[in-house]
Order: sequence, then C-alpha cells, then structure tokens
Amino acid sequence: MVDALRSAGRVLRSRGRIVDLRPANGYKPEIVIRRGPRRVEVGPIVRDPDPDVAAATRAVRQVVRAGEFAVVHAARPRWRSTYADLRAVENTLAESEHWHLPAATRRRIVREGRPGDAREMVGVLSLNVLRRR
Amino acid sequence: MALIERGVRLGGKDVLEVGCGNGRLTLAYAGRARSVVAIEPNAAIVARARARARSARLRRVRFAARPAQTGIRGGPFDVVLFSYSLC
Repeated sequence: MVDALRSAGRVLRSRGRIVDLRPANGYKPEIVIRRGPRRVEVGPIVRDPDPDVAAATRAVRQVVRAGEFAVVHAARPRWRSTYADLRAVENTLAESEHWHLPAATRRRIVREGRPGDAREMVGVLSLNVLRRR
Repeated sequence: MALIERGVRLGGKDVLEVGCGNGRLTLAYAGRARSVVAIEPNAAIVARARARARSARLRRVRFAARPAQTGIRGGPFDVVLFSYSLC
C-alpha cells in the first residue's frame, strides 16, 4: 500500500492530489428501506474484519510521517447508496468478498420492501486527500 | 461524489482512478473530468464498466484491466483516486 501511494505520487502533477476513499475502520453498514418520509431500519450487513483497511490507515500514516505526503483534507463522512430492489443490493455486495447479507436482513428486505421503495445501504467512510511534499 | 469533491475538485482534471470496479463511481464524475483512466484488476468487471460508459456516451474515459501494483503509470494526472482500493 505504501508502494501504491508512492507510485501514485510519481504520476501526479506538482499540484496534484491523491484521494483515498474507503470504509472507515470498524464501521457497521446497515440496510434501510425508505418509503416516502418513512424510514425502516432493516438490519446490518456483515462486514468481515478487513486487515487491509487497517493496513491502508497505517500506510497513509507512514508516508505522512516520513514527510513524503501531507494530508490536506480528512473526513469520516456518512454515505448512502440507493438500490431499486434486493437483486441490486445483492449484486453490489457480491463484488466484495468481505461483505455479506445475513439471512435475517435479507428476509426483512423481502418482507418490508414494496415496489417503489428505496433500499439504502448506509455507513461511514474514511476520506483522505494527500499532496506530495 | 459530493463527498469526494469536498476535498478535491474533479471537474476539468486528468484523473487516474485505481480500483474502479464496475464504474459506478467513475460514471458519476467522468462527464466533468478532462480525461479519466480507470483501472481495475478484474477483466470481467472492467467489461461491465466499459459497457456502462458506452451507454452513458462518455468518451473521455478509458478503462483498463490492470492491477494497482503495475497499473499506476502514465499521466501526469491531477488526481489519483483510490476508490476502496488502497485497502
């Protein structure tokens, strides 16, 4: 990961920026159904402990401490991603080996969801913007 | 997208996106960037991203199936965006 940051630094213009967007350490995403103003909390998405997320945090800290990059912006924004149906939710989760839809949450999506409802995944991200020093 | 643009503007910029997946994020900003190179190691997923970009008639975005370890090259770029890929 440190190598990836250094490679990125080599292809940047002098005033260029590196953006590191990823799940925040230890956050727990969940599924919510929205029907107009009504909001139903359906249940959690299981996210395996991902050692790579912690390693990425360490990598950013390492290159900053070494004086190679400086952090110009850091935030932990909440994110929300909207899906029309259960299949779209499952397709998205299938792209990550670390995220799984528990059977109980899936059952509640089926039970609570109506055509026209929005199925939302909500969680917390880590956003770092770096510049080369 | 608004989350990212709180920290850096992508409009008019040359962007390298590392780990673009199916292009969901890429398509959200590619219309405003000057150019986008989006890399992702999984060739099947890259094919899906290309198809989405074609459907959206985006011409300034180029997708390539290559991993971050060897794929961060070319440029120079104004922004290198690791979307869920530094980890």
